[in-house]
Amino acid sequence: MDVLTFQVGGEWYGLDAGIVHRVVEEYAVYPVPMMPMFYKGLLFYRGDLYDVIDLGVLLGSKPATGSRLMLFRWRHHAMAFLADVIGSIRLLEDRSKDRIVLETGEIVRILPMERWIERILNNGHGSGEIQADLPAGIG
Amino acid sequence: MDLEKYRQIFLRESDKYLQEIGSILIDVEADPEETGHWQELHGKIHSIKGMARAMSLESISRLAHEMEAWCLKFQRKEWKAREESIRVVTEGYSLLKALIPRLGRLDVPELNTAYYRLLELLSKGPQGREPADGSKRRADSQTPISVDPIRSIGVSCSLIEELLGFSQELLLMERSKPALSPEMAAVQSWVDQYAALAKGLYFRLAQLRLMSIEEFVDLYRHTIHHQARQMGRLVRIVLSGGDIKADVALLDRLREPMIHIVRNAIAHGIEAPEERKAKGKPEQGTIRIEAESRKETLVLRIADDGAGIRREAIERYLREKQGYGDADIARMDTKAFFAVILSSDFSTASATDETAGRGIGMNVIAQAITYLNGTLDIDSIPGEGTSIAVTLPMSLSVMHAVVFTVGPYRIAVPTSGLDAASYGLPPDDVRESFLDLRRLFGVEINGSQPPGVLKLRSSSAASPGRRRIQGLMVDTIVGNKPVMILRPGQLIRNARIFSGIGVLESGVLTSMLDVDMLAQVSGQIPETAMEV
Repeated sequence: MDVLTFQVGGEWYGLDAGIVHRVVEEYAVYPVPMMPMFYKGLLFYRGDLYDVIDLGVLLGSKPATGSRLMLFRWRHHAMAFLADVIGSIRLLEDRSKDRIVLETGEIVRILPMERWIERILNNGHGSGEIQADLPAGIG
Repeated sequence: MDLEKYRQIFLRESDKYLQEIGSILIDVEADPEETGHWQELHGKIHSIKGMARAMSLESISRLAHEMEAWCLKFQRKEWKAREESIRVVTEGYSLLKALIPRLGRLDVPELNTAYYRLLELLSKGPQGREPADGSKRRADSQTPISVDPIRSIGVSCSLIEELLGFSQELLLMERSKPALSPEMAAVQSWVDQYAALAKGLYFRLAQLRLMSIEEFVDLYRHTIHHQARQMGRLVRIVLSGGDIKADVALLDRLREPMIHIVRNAIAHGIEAPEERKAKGKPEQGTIRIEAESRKETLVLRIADDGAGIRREAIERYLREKQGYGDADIARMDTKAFFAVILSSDFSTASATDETAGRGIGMNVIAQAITYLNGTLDIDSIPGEGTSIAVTLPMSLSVMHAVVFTVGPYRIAVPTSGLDAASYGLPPDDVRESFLDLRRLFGVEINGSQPPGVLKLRSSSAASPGRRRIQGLMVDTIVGNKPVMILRPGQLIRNARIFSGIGVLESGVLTSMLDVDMLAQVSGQIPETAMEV
C-alpha cells in the first residue's frame, strides 16, 4: 500500500496514504477549551469538521513545528495530523510489515490506525491538564 | 463525504441487476407471452433507474425510464410481445451495459447515436404491433407527452461540493484583505458589501445538500434483497415518507447503521417461509421503513413482522450482570427493557441462540446513532415483530447565539438561553453564582478590563444539589449572531461540555457551550476573586 511519510521529533512515521485525502497548508485552526494537550483545535474544510492533533505532543516530544496538515478520514472519524515535516509517499509492498527502511537506513514506522485512534480518543478527557499517555513505542 | 463510495455502490449494484436482466432476457425469448418475465425485467430496470436518478445520471435514468415503460406494456398485456420488441429491449440492455461503467457519459459518437436512436424507438412503441385487445390505440407512432412545470432539479453532489468549496474560499479571502487608506473609503465599503454577499451565498449553499429518504433507501435496496435471498427469506420493503429530505452528510453517516438494522431484521427477525406459514403469517416478510419529520428532527422507523426479540437472554443478563430481581424486571417499561441489548457488555455470543441474536452489533449501531446526537428506541412483541426507531436532529440548523471570547477561544451560547449580556463585574452578593470561564479555561485574566457578563435565563443551569449558576464571566462579547450548527467528532463529544460546533457567517468556528453540562463537569462554582 502507499504510505505517506512524515517526521515528528526526529523520527519517521507513516500512514496509509489511501485514507489521507488532503494535505493543506496553513489552514485556520480554531482552539477549543478543556481538551487534551495534543488537541490543537478544529478545522473546517469544505463543509466538514476535522480534529487537529499535534503529533509532537501526542508522541511525547515537543509541539510539532510544521505548518501543513494531513487531513484524513478513518471509519467515521475525521482528523488532521500536524507533524514537523511531511515526506514523500512510499510503497509498502508487504502489508504485514509495520515498517519501511529508507535509503538512509532510517526506519519509517507505520502507524496502526485503529490503535492510534483509540489512544487519541481514550486520552481525550474533559479537563485540559491531562497529558496524553505517552506510548512506549509504536507498532 | 466520499462520493467515490456511492459510485462504487452504484456500479456494483447495477452490475448485479444487469446480470439478472441478462438471464431474464433469455427466458423472455423462450416464452415472450409470460408476463412474469416482463414484470421481473420491469422491476430490475426500475431499480437501476432509481439509483441512476439518485446519482443524477440523466442519460441512464432516462433510458431506464423508457425501457421500464416498454416492459410494463407487455407485462400488462397491452401490447403483444414479438421478436422485434424483444430485440429492442436487448439493445437497451446492451446500451445500459455500455453506459453504466462510464457513468452515463455519451462520449463516443457511435454510443451517442445508438442511444438517441433507441430512445426514439422506445418512445414510438413497437412497430407493427397489435394491441392485445385488437383495437388500434395509436394511429400514429408518436406517444403524446405531457410535461409538468419544472419545480425542482437534480444536481450532482460533486457540483454542490465544488460550489461549497469555492464559496468557502471566497469567504476566507476576506482575511487577506489589504488595508485601504482612508481616501479609499468608497472602495472599502464596496468590498464590505461584496464580502457580505459572499457570506450569504455560503450560508445558503450549505443548505443545498439534501437527498430524499427514498433515494437513500434505493441505494441499498438490492443488497437487502440479495441478503434475503441468500438466507432463504422472502422479504419485501415498504417505504413511507420517502419524499422527506435530509442533508446528505447526515444520511451518509446513517448508511451503515441502517444497513445493519435491516440486515438484523432479515437474519434474526423474519422467519423462513415455512416457519411463517406454520405461524399463519404470509410467507413473505415485510420490512417497513417509515420516515417522519417533526420540527427539527427526523424519525426513521424500521419495523419487521418477524419473530420479535426473545426476552429470555435479556432477562438473564439483567439478573446475572445487573442483579435485577424478578419483580424489578416485571416493573421495567418496554423501552428500557429492550434498550438493554444496546449495552456494550450485552453479548449473545455466549447465549446458545436463545435470543434472536440481535445483540451482536447493536451497541455499535447505538454508538453510531449517539455520535449523530440521535436516539435509538427498540420495541418488540415476541412472535409478532420488532420495531426500531431512530430519532435524529436534522443535521443542518441555523440558530441565533451570543458569541464571546475567552482568551484564544471563541465560544457561543444559544441566545434563547440568555437574559442579558453586558460588561462589568457582577455585584458582590451574586458574584459567586457567576461561573468565570476565564478561570475555568485557564486563561490569563486582565484585571484592568471589565469582564463580559452573560446573564443566563432563570430556568437553565441548575445542577442538582448545587447552587444555581446565574451567569458567565468572559473576556469579550462579540455579539448576537446567526450560527449554523454542525456535529463535532467524538473527541469533542467526549468533553461533554459542548452541544455542537457553530459556523458563523464569516466561516469562523465557535464552540457551542452546554452550560448545564459545564456546571456539572466543573463541580463547585469557582470563587471569583477580584483581580486588581
